[in-house]
Amino acid sequence: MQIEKHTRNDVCVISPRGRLDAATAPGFRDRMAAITGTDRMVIDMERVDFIDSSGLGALVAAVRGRRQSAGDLKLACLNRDVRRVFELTRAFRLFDIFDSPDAAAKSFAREERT
Amino acid sequence: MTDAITLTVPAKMTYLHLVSRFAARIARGIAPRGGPVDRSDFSHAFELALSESFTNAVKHGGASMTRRRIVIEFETGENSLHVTLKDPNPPFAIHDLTAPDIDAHPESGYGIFLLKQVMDTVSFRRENGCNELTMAKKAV
Repeated sequence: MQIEKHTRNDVCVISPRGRLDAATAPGFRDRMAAITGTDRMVIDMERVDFIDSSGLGALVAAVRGRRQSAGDLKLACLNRDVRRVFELTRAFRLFDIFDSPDAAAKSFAREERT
Repeated sequence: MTDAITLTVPAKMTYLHLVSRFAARIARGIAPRGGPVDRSDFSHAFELALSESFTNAVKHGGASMTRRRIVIEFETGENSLHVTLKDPNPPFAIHDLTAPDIDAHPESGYGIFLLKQVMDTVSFRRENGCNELTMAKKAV
């Protein structure tokens, strides 16, 4: 799975591409664990076209990891199929989900002001 | 009229994408355009179901499974699709699995739960030394 990474306003934006399933989730977990030095993270899911329970588990582990270090991880741009898996598993209650990576990144700034 | 298609696939995660996309493609051709069930949703249901069931079969077999094969039988109806996945793993007690506490958001354990959510029927039996998982869904 290809994963791009850049920083926007002190927020680390991760852009995976392809399928997040049992074949790719272990590599995704490793990549997420290797990203250190930032507590604020956004995963832009626009180019993730499929997710299964293994992929969802990798995202759950990632958000838990960030929150344990007093940070957070937010999601953006879930397609219809990915959103369906989130609805079936009620994972939308665990994650903050936004329509764009910009909106997700800006939400960190708003939280700082409040 | 029904068609039967059988895939015999090495029990390796390498083939996960192939198997689930194959199921999605067959399902897409079954749901009628403009019908009561959205074609994309019908196709995604089988893509997800095969991703979960194939993954379970590969993982349940462990390292000893890598030389074995998983047989996947597709049977198409006019507006329905049945899929049976057969693996030579040790007996798998699907009925003994407890549902995940989804409100606690665990990191694993959603596989069979998701399968049951997206299919109309899911059944399991042990036959001729194989686990047989049958899934079916109607597009009407």
